[in-house]
Amino acid sequence: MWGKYNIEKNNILRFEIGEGIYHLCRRDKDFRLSFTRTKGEKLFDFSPLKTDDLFNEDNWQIFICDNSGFIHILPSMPDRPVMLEPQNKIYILPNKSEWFYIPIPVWVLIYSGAETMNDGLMIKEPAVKLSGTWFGEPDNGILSYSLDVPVSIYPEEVKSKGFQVTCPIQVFNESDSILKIDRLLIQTEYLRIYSNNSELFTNEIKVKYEGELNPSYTQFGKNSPSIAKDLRLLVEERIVPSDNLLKRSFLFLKSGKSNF
Amino acid sequence: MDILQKYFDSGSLVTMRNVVITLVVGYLIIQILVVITRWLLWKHLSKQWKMLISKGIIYAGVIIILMIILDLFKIKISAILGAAGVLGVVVGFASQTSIGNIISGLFLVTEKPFQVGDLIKVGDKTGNVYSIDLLSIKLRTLDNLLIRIPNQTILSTEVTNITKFPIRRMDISIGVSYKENLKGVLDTLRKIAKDNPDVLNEPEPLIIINEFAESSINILYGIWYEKDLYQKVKNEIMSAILETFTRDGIEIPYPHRTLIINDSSDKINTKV
Repeated sequence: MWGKYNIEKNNILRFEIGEGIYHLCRRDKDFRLSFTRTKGEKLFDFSPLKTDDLFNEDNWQIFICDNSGFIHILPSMPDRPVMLEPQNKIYILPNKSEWFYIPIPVWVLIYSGAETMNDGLMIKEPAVKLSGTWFGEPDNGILSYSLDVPVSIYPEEVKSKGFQVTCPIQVFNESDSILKIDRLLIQTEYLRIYSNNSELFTNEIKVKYEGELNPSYTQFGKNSPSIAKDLRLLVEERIVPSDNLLKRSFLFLKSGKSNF
Repeated sequence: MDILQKYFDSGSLVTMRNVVITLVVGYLIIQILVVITRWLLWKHLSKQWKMLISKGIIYAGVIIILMIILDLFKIKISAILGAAGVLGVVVGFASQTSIGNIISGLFLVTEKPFQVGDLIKVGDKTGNVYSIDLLSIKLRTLDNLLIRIPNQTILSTEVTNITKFPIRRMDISIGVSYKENLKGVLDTLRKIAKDNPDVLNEPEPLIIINEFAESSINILYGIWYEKDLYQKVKNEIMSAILETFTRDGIEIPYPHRTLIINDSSDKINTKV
């Protein structure tokens, strides 16, 4: 699904990802693209068309760009952090750790160009539009997306939809008290996307919790996650995470409802 | 020709040439200093500080160039400075307001209650900060007018920075009929907020049964949103409230009064 496509002249590629329906048409000098959002979530559906009817649509956008006929359809992590609100409350007892597998809806990026994708971005839309939310106090926090999904702790139960990427997070409770996970902020800009041709995965995140008064330590994996095999890197992270774990850990707030 | 020759012979040409060189070189040095300063301080200072420092360099440079030119013309600066003492008193009296504005401007830049681009309210004027200058700030109102407000006024007036924080709360007052099931109404309002992706899930919407008014029960409906989305969110939420209330049969009552005539127990309901 994700990757490079060649569109013949005057042909239209129609596809659906998540809530979005895309039409891409290659003409003599330009690409035309239309995008509409529907209510229902759909899996991938590709159907090449060869008709001129769609030229009458009003919502075509015209792109004067590399006209070699190639386009790249790629996933991308959301442009803001994602705040997980687990559907079931999760408690981790002192000195225990556990892996969590969290499905995050990706954004869809379409580039034009035979090889390089630089400067050829035609559209960037979320596969599923998530609600906005705020992580922190009203005067000091982070704008993020709200993610209200079931969280799995068994890798074999992970069943991400095609427009979701599975994010493996390992949480260590190194404090003396029970860790109740109400909210968990996932910094998407530090995550890469890997693919095994059927599913998407991010690099691993490890979080150490050392009590309410201490900041949590967060570390982003530099290799492909161990949850699946034969993974290839599809998309790089937007920001390379530093090795300074303490710095990253401040992204977890410590009081009230937003506490992790 | 003789006059010109005499003029040139007297060394005035040399002086003029030196003045031109001073002006050109001085101008270039000032520009280079401004560029270097901006480049060095680009990441560390706010726009206001950059503007102030640039203007400080320009004014200082102009004064120095002026003094050099006066010296080239063999005009004694000490005499001018002496005269400037007297002139300074006169100018000082005349420019009290301007100096007050400049000092107020410095306080504003230090205090940083707003920045260029912020939406602020000063008195009854609301607009985006267009520029912060030495003497005044300029606001671009929402209907595209430019308002100049002296810095002294800003310093002595209450200023509301509407867009200081990334998120804001929009308070909407909604009146519903006394016959409505309030719990159902509140649930409906919560759902309207949840269904709109631009309304933030957290902080949670503030929903308060605010008042038993003459004709309705008034509910305060406060939803949080990203500050740039005011118009979009307001239009969508207002439309959604009307649409949902109409669909669910929740009445937003017109003002009405119950009239009791004399001591008769008959009641006449009239809607106004």
